[in-house]
Amino acid sequence: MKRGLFSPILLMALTMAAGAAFGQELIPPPANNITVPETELQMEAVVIPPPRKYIVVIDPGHGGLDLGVRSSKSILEKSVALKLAFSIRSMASKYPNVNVYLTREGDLERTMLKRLELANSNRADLFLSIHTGGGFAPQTRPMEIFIAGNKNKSRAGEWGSQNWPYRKANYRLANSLSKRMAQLDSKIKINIVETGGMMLEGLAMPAAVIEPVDLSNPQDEILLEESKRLRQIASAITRGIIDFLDVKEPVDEAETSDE
Amino acid sequence: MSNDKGKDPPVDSDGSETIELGQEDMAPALGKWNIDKPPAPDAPIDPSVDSWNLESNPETEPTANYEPVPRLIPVDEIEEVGEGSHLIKNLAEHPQERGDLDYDSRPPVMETHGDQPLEEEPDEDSSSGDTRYLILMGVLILIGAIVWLVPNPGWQSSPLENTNAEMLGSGQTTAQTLETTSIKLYVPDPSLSFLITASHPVNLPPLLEKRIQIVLTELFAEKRAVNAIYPQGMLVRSVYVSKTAAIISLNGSFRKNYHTGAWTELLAVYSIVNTVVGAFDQVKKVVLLIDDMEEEMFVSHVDISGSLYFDKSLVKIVKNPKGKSKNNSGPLTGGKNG
Repeated sequence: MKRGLFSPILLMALTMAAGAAFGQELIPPPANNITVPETELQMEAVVIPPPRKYIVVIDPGHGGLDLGVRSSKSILEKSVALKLAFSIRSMASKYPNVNVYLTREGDLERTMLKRLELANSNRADLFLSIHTGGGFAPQTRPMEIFIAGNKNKSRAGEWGSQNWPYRKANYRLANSLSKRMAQLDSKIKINIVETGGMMLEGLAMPAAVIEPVDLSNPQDEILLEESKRLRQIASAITRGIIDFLDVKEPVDEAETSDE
Repeated sequence: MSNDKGKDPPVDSDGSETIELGQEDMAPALGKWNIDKPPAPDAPIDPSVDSWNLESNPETEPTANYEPVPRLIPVDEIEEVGEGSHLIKNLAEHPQERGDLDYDSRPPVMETHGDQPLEEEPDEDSSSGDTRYLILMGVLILIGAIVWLVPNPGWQSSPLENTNAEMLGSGQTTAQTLETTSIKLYVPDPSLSFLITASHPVNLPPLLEKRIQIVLTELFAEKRAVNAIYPQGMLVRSVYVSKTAAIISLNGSFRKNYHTGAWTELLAVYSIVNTVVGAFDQVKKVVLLIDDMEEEMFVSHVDISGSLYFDKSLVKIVKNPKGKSKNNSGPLTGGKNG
């Protein structure tokens, strides 16, 4: 019994003695002296990713006196573009990491350079301009998605050719959008057009111009009379943006509470 | 020559031809030339009198308000001496030299005697000089007006907005200098997907600016382009070529009726650019103005704020989502004509 009691006491005493003898080593060194290998830091960053907020600038084309295309039934491009932009912002608000800004929130006239300035000065992660197709006569044209062209032909004023490093990202964005739009209508034809004529070169971020409907196409005009058509288009564009940003789908709160 | 006091200088007494000299030629010696009669000695000094003349020759001009009358010298005197203006000046300053020059043997035009006032011969037609002067001025103005109007036959209409008919009409007058050339116009294909070339024979004058204007007028009237990428009534206001840049100003009225999408607008802009750069070797780039002003956009989609270059592929169509590559370089392989 005495041995049984003695042994732990002796063990504690020995431990304390050792601690007293080598106390400096037991006290943890100051934090700034910690030298953690770089690989460990990277692993740590992967494990706990910082919250990433994506800034998306949606640009409803035209506005004010600039009507854009006018259909035979007097549907205006500037109105369609604004409605789509509002819907996209509403749908994207479900994603907490995505903040959507519009270049105009009413029937306002803004120059393209002003729109560029808004996106660049806010360091947006993506710029998407919403337009519609149209011509002088009724026509059935493929849907077009425009991305920036040759950097040597940039005419975006002082903004120059800032978009050139994002050339591949532009293609990825256009592909994401076109895939989602193709799901909307299997018969639809979509062209990705690289052009130097739309000032996209001045944007320091992945950027595109999309014309999801053609107001001189009689079929599109009929479809637009249904309010759900615009919502479908807005949904397809939103999903294309989310695909490009690789943002996870929002998790339902109910599912979170169950877990 | 004007005489502000209503008196013409006297003519030669024997009716011989006289020559009138400029006031600047005789002013230093003869002073102001407008005296009907000398004012009274106690009269106040006329402030309009040239003071420097009065002060510079106090001895030859005994009264402060005396103003001698300019002389008219017969032509033969001038010819005989050779240097008319200098002679007159010298004679006035040094009257004694007249004898040396045998001047007194000539019929005097006007006698000056020391400090005596000049006597002027009565003038039968005092307004004849004015009338002649007015007639001469009228003839000169008429000639000037004719010279100004003749090389601008289009003066009644705006010289900037020449229609094709006007240009061809003016070209008929210089038919010998016109050159018939086949020009490739870049017009949209029927599906409005690309630009294709269409050859047109055009009569072109030598002047490059005029050639460009005629080619564009032809383009804007092309049946495949009108109501496809251009509205009716597109007009070229003016063309100016600076080095290798063709600066083309379009009449901005077309924008009121231009409600199309970006694609149609792109086709329209590069239809102009490719046609002009493709047709004329001297032109490497195009600057588009609207109503002579620099604009950001052609209408509302396509940026025209800088120089525009020939785009062989127009706009490069990469692919459609089904993976079918679309190569549109075929229709745009247009060589240069000019």
